[in-house]
Amino acid sequence: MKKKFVFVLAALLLFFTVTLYGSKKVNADEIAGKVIFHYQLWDQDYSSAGLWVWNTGSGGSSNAVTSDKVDSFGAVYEINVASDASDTIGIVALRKDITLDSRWDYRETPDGENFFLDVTDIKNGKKEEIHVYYFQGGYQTYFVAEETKVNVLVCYYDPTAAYEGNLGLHTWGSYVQEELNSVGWGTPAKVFKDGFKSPGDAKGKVALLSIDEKDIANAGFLIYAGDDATKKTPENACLGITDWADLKNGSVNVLYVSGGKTYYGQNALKDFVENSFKFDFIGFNATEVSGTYAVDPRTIFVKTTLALPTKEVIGKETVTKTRTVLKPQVKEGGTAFTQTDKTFPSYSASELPSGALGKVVVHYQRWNGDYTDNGAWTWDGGTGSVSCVPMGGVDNFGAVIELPIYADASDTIGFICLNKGVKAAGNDWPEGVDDSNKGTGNIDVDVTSIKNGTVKELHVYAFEGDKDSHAGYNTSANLVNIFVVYYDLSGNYEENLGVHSWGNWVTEGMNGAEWTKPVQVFSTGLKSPKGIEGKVALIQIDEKDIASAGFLVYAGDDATKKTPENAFLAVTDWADLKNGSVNLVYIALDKAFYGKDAKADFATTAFSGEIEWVEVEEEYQEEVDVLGVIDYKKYFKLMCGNDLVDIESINFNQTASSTNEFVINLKNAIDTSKEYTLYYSNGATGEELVEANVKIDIDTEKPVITLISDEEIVIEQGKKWDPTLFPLYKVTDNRDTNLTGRVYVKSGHGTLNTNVPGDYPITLVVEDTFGNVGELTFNIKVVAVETSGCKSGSAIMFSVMSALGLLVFFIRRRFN
Amino acid sequence: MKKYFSFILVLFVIFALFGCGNEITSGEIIKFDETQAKETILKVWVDDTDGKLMEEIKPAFEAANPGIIVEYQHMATIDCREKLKTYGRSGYGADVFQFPHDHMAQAILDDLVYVLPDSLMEKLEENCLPVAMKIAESNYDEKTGTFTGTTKKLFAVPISIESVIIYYNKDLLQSEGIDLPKTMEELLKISADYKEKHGNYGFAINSHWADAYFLQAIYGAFGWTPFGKDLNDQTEVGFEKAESKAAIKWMLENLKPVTTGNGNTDSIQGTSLFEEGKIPFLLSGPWSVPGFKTANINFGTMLIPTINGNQATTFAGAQMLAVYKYSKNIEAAVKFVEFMATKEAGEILYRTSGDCPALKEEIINEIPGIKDDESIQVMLEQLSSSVPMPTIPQVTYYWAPAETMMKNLWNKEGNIDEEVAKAEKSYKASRDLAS
Repeated sequence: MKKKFVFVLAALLLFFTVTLYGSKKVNADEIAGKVIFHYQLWDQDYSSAGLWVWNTGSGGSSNAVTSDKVDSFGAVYEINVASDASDTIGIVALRKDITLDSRWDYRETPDGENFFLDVTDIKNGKKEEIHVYYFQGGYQTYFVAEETKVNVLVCYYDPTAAYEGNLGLHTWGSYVQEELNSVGWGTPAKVFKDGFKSPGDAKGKVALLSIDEKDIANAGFLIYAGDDATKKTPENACLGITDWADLKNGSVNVLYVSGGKTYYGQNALKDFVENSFKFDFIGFNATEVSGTYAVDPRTIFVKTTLALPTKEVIGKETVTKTRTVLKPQVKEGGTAFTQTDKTFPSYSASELPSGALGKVVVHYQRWNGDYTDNGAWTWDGGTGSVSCVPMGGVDNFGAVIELPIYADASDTIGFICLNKGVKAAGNDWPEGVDDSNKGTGNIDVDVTSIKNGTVKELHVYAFEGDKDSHAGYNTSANLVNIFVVYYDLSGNYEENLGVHSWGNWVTEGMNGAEWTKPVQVFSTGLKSPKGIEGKVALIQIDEKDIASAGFLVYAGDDATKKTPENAFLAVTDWADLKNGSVNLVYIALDKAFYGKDAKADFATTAFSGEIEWVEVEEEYQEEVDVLGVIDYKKYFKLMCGNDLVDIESINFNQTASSTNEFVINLKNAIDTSKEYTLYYSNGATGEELVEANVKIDIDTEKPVITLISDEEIVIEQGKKWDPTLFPLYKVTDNRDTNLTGRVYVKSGHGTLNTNVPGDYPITLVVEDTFGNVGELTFNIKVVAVETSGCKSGSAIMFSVMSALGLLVFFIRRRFN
Repeated sequence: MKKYFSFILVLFVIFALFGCGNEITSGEIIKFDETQAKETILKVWVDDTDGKLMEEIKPAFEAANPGIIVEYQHMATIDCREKLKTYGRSGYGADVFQFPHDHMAQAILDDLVYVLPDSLMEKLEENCLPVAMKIAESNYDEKTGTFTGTTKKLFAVPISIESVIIYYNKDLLQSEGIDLPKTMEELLKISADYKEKHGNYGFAINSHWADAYFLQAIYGAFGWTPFGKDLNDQTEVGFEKAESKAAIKWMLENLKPVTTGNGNTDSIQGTSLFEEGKIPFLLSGPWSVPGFKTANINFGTMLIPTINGNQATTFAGAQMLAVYKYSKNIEAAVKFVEFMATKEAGEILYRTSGDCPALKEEIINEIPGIKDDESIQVMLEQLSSSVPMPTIPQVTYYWAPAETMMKNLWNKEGNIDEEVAKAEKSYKASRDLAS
């Protein structure tokens, strides 16, 4: 038996071993290796960044590749490459929205300009992984790390993008890249590529240096353009790598250099971004004809290193919006606690009766909102007061009942809210009203402050079911008042139920509240229609302290929190609450209710049968900023020496939220013999001040027309013009690259008459974009030809003979 | 004798004076400053990466329109709009620019598009495919800023037209003994059988199975289009309509099991597999043809087969050229866009890019090669039942919710009622936020 068991066990083991081995083998056949793509974004927000890949073969990664992995460089994406992948796989890096079609708005390479990575080393088994490093704005430039060497990515950034053509590295020591070895002083190794772009689209340079760790101690480099004056770091750049000598093979290290500073190590990226990507003008780039420059005498193109907002707040307006909210709904078959659909007049304060010193204003909230014939029974208000007082209208809280206070009133008066029967003021107990119609118990109010003239009004708040002898709730006109209503359906409340709070509260005990020690602010302040009591607290705070304050309801530990989140989060406009306001937060069944419909939702949730939560759309009012397009004329200033140059208008993309490209249109043409400087200032002060200036590049060079064919064209008199004889020419210009097609013949300088011998100068003209005009005059010579009737020699002879004939004729006449 | 001598002398004089005066008139007077005068420079921004199209369009247009020089620049369609907003008013933008079907409304709202003359609209209506014209025309009312005006106007010229169709590998069909399916049900069975035999499903998509542009063929077969029957009602995106839900249900129950199985919407690289000759059928569009040719695939094309007996109705898409509203060369620009809708330009377009000109079939078929181009012919047939891409600006907010909805259903087995409701809300939220 034992033998059999061992045999079965062994067979099972063998089966699983073969199965597992087999499955692994199949997988290994399909996936030949991985491209590990490291992607660096300046804001380091990789939450929706990703890659779009293709040509990776059967079972290879396809389309969107996402990841939540990050390393010290940036996000890390794994691209599976199958053995039947193409030799080059296609990759598009996407900064945002990788899972949505809008992803294409955030692509690093424009449509049709994707980049491809050679993966033959993976396909043929030479490598299992290829590590690719890619910076934001890298376009088609990526860097493949040498896995057995120390890799140093050197990023150099000039915010004005004015990189010398000779920019490169001076190095010493032994590197993997041949071009970095034996580099002579004065001849920089030109290893930099356009490897990234700033948030404002200014290009940055990146070079990858690879070196064996054994050679590193004797190696170093600096960035320059051929001489001491062009060194980009005050010291050798490698000195920025403090642990340079300790770098290990296989490591990838990034050194950022900008503004004469080097950034390396743990916070290098953050420090580099904060210090380098500052606002500035991007200077004129003569090679690409980009940056900031005068494109013509009345137009200046402006490009900045950071984008500026296109709109600013010019006012406020209240708009109606819709939002989806969760609403309690009684489950099918349950009994809903509903609100009345009756409406009541709004409360407006009435004048004090003659002789009254002031009044107690009672605000009474009923759960079903029905205030028909509601009012109060009051006593000890003094001579002139009446016992039975009908409500005067409703406010956001509930019914409002005014109780005048006379000089001979007791220091403490009393009242009971009544739910029916109070049709008019009087001193008789209202007919048909018994204890079951009492909305509250006896509520006492200290009115000495009215009697001694300190205040004219005292506002007292009461919830339906407030029990006997409750002291009411005295709100303050100088503080933000928040009623916190907490209701447990079972009616069981922990003894130490209270609030935990932070921030500077006025309510006693809430300042510096300790966790596990709830502040005992609650008292029994309501009773549900089912007769279950609930808790109410009035907490108060100054409006200046509210932004940094908060609270939650609990009984001393996490398990007893009464809301899934802090209750104050339900107060959507928490930070905007004003002194004197009275606000309500209701809490029941782990939900907090605030704002419009809060009481109705709370009552339905707390007082109905079993409920469920459904999403409904509701309208709400919100005060929003009114945005207007910024008039950038107040921020840009063009100066010619001390003279301010008139700007007519500034164009920019007004539908974008921000832009770093502007077109400044001038009222008058600039004087090309003078220098102009463009200034920007946002007009702020202190740390908010942003300013920069740049000298405007002006094109003073004329385009040059050069003849490719002979300068003089000869044509025989009387011949038709052969268009192929027109000279060939080309145009060169310091800025414009394609002016040849714009050449034309100057008006009044282009007529040829092949019937008449002579020289015919023809003037070609071309105008560059700036308006500089280049001219070239060539000659067409029409040479006379002898005609059969009168050759030229004969003509002369005939002329001489004619002159002789005439002479003889006149002489003979004279002598005859 | 003296008289005789005098007479001879006079003759000499007359001869000298008049005898040599036989003026040469066989030459000509050329006014180069008139024949080679300063010309209008027309700047054209087109999405023409390799420049092959414009290399031929430029001389053809210039020959037909003396006095105008075309300077063209490759510019991605989105960049066209953005750059125009900054540089257009100063005269440094394009006179003519390009955008695809669903960008037109936004371009109009961005105040970039010049309304083309009615005479041109009438001329194009004679020459261009009606479905393409529907994309290029709009009832935009500038006064109210709405697209529900009473007058139809032409805002762009459609230059090419496209629709998805089905591409198949002829060699594979022959070697596998597969007949062309007549219905979608047959195609799906082939796909499933092929998987059994070869490990790959036999039918795939050039995009992913949550791409609403492609899926419109299926939605259409169930009678659904977004934005109502005229595709222009922004209040009626319609995710929650019964027809939409029926199409989704069909896709989840019938399409998904035989195209990705348990995989996600983008788990199969359809185009790569097709180009590698590993699958017989691919749902794709004309943009894939150069890739198929490079991969030496002997491919054929067929209409998207009927689904439950109903015709698949695809979106007709178009590339369009518009005149920049503040161009300083409006007249020349209009001439250029008009030229681009001619048979001559269509011939160049087809020859250089393989794209299908947006011209009526009888004109297109005069272009050498097109009549025998099966891909184009099948696509034209497919287009005959296509619906134009919606061009109201709110279409921008349709794609993402539509994609998310299908991904949640296909990849996460979500509930159809819940997901269509979520998509509807998501669309409305994005639309309202933007407004």
